[in-house]
Amino acid sequence: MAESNGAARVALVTGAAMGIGKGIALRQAYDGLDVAVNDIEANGDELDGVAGEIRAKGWRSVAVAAGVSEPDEVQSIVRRVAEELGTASLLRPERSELPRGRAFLSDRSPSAWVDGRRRPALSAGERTG
Amino acid sequence: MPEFATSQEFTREEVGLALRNPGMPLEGLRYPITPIGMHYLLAHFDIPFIDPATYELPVTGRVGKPLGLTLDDLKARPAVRMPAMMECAGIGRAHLSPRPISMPWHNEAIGCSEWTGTPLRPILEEAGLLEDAVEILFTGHDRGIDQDVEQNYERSLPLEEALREEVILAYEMNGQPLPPQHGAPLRLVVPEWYGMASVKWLKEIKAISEPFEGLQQALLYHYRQSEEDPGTPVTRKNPHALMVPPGIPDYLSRTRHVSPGRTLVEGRAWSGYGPVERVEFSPDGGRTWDDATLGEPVGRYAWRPWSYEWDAGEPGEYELCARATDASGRTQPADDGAWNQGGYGVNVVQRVTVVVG
Repeated sequence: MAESNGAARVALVTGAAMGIGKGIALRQAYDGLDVAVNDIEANGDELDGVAGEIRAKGWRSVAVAAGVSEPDEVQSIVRRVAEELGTASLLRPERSELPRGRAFLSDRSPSAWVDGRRRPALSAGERTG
Repeated sequence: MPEFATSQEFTREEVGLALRNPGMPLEGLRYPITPIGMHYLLAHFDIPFIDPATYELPVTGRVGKPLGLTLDDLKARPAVRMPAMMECAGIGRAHLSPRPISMPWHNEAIGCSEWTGTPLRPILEEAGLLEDAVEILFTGHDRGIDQDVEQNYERSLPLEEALREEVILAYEMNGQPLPPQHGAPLRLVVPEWYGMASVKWLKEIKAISEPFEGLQQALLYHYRQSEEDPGTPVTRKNPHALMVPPGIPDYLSRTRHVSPGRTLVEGRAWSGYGPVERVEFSPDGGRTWDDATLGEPVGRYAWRPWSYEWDAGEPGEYELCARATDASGRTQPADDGAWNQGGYGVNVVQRVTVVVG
């Protein structure tokens, strides 16, 4: 929908291997966004399953299994998502860029990470962009 | 250019076309993926008879390395299975007045399938598009005469559209080999566009350096208000919501009969311009509207279910309507808002007459 719907948009959903995070990830796809899903490496198989489910229905999705408690981990997730979904400008972790993308923290993410710095935890599904 | 009818009666030619090209009965909206035999059909000419064993698809024109792909070659390439909704650009033509004499679709020129095939883009990349290529021309094996011109059915796509990753060459429909009437052994699937872009029975793919001026491209499939109007090409599907007509039908008139009380009205909605964000329901011919509940889309390029719990109330006659709005802000016009000379892309709101009692 990129052309017809303005700029391509990407959602990055943490804690997305199961539960509320997975639900949020699917919902982003239904709204027409490309979806990057993230969870800890121990949930890697389930995470791949979520990305596969989204892709099988025609949306673009990438799974990045990694922690989100350290800024450098977050930076690397964001970089990877930008490479895979081709949306570097949308996900560049500067606050001014955020309104063009969406980032979500599911209930199972330990802390806020969006700009690569720790911030007070957001509630589940809170929109930062 | 088309002739027109103002009578409610259909001509012999229209009935003949309607017999050749069945639509999806609207109760088929209940299925997220349309059973193959229920999916609408539109073949301009005859259904070609093609031997899949000797089938070969040339990829030619403004390319560095022309290719010849057999069905086995195509199946050996990376496969994707993708749900995509298909809608004929002639949908709703029979509602128009005056009515262009052509395939007289009402609302049933629809279906949603799971298409299996291989993406087109890597094939074009392998063939190596030359710098002067501006469009990709898709020619079908189906051949006939239209507007006094003998032709194969053929349509082009601008390069940027042909290179979209969701554009595939499909050889299966709902997990089965493509049936003859749906383009066997190989067809193009261009999600989001009206069905005319998804050329069936592919004979050749050709990169061209000038915009294609063929009849199905430059003359037909345009939104024009008059013969002099240069018009604009028909491309993506306009937003559209349709309901399963509730209750039971009268055999001939198809008027619906519904018992008093709560009735769950269900349907599906889609758009080629972005996700459907809203569906509204009206029980009174469009005077008042209320939001329907949206369900999960079957896929990015498929339709989205919606439902509305209607309290049928007092016995009497009602006119039920539904309309969709997509993320681009496009919505459906009332009645004559979609008239155009060829009768294309008509997405006026559906009206279902219901007798409660």
